Amino acid sequence: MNDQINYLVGASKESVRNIYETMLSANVEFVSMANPEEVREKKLDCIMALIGMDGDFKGSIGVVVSNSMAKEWVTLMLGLDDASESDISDVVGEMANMVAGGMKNTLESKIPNFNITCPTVIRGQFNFPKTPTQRVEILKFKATEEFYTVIVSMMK
Amino acid sequence: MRPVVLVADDSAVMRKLVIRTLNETDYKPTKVIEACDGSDALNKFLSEDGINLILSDWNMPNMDGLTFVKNIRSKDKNVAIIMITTEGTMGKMEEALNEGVNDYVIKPFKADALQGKLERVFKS
Repeated sequence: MNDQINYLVGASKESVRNIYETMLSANVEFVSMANPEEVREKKLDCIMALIGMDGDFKGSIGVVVSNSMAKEWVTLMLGLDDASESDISDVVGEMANMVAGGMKNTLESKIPNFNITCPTVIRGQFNFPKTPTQRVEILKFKATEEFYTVIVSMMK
Repeated sequence: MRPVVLVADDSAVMRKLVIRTLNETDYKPTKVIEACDGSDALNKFLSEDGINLILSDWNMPNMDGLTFVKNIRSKDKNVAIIMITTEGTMGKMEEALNEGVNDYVIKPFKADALQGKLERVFKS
């Protein structure tokens, strides 16, 4: 279990860095692993895109971002300053898709049976519920003075 | 070479990004037709004249990119098809090439990656 989650965490860092350099021509810095208990105490006003994992790994990969940072992603990606709500949701879903796809490609030799779903994007205020059947790792990244998180959760 | 292009992706942002990137290559399109899934793409391919390049995502609702490619290849052996997707494992690439995809671009990508694939596809 530890090896498996470490593979996923390592692959997610590499995937996020690759997306930033290639797609956004910007730098991103991995800041820390967040404490799930601390994050659960806060209600976050944000956009979250979730991708399901199936196969040898069962669980989910989530990208959680503020509205302003998602707007910036649209600007960096498309050169648009007047992103619509639909563009913003779309870009967060696509970022999650690329993060998960990059993880899958990186881990191909170690985990050949690794399937991912299409992203589901939700908006609002949420915290992250504690589930006894899942192990959750929260990775905090910093880019352009803002933070966003990638959540990897795996069924125990 | 100025192709007439069909861009199939369920994400409007990705379609915009693909078109923007295509315009940074030597293969600036004369016309772009957008489709939001494989089924929409197939209908547009059959109803529009002159499409000579398809840039398609793999994971789409209603009809996925691979099923779309199979349908296209049963009707047209010549149109150039490049899959643009996050599915970059060897197994997936082989599967797509076996079904008639000419080449493959893995997201995230830059214009020079797409340029290289377009050169290879149109010069072969």
